[in-house]
Amino acid sequence: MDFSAPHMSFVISSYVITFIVLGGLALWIFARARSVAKRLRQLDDEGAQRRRNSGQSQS
Amino acid sequence: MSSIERFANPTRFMRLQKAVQPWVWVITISLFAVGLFLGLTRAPADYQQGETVRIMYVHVPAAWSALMVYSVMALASIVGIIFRHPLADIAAKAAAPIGMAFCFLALATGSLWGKPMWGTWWVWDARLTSMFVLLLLYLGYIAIWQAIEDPRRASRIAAIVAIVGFINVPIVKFSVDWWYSLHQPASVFRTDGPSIHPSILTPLLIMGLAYSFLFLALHLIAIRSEIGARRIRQTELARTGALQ
Repeated sequence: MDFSAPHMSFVISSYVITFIVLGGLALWIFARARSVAKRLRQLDDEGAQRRRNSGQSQS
Repeated sequence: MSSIERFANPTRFMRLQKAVQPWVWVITISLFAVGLFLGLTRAPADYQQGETVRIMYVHVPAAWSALMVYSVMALASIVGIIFRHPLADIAAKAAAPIGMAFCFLALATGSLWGKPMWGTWWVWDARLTSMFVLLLLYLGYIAIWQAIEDPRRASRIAAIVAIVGFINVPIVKFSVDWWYSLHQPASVFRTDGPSIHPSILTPLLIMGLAYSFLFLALHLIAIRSEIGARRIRQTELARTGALQ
């Protein structure tokens, strides 16, 4: 690739925008997956805690 | 339908997703590495466009993917409406932001190609306008899910929008044949075969595959998150109901 060719700024901008948009999309999807997984773990822990407490109060 | 019904169970889907996800990432990254290497270092500059032709390796696969993802959404919406498949509307909803990003990229990189080649960032030509309509359809579909609180009602309305909006997909594809357009006609998917030299066509097809696998990789994670988000909603609703 010839970096001194005319219009190279347009070529570089295209790749930069592609990298930013696809990278940003991937990060957003990862972040959502992490927060959902974290909340599910919290709910699981709270449910287990509640089951333990109700088991203790019954005995 | 039996193969579709086999994966109707979200728990089974989650197990499958966990097993295939690393392999999908390996294939995606490998395809991007090979596609970018060939496209940026091995493919020749075009005799008319010069180095600007390299924008095609990110622009064309983005446009293909935007159309493919919308087709996936429409198909999932049909399956959701007809067969009440539990994963269908989740799959359609999870695909929308990814398709919208591809569509935006196709428009943005196309604009960056248009300025040096056509002398303008934008023209209201049939291909560009129909692609812009596709972006609006993605935005509208996402807005419906955001605006309607009841997921069943949202999924029905969003599915109808996705199915009706699918009419725009062939319009985008054939717009360059049906109307006079600044955009060049199809040069890969033609009845008489591709009109591009293999040295340019090979990296283009590899980048097309890379985008498709990127969609698969992100879509699998997004579906998993959506299944999780619905479980959270159900648990919280059940808890609120139990408290009242």
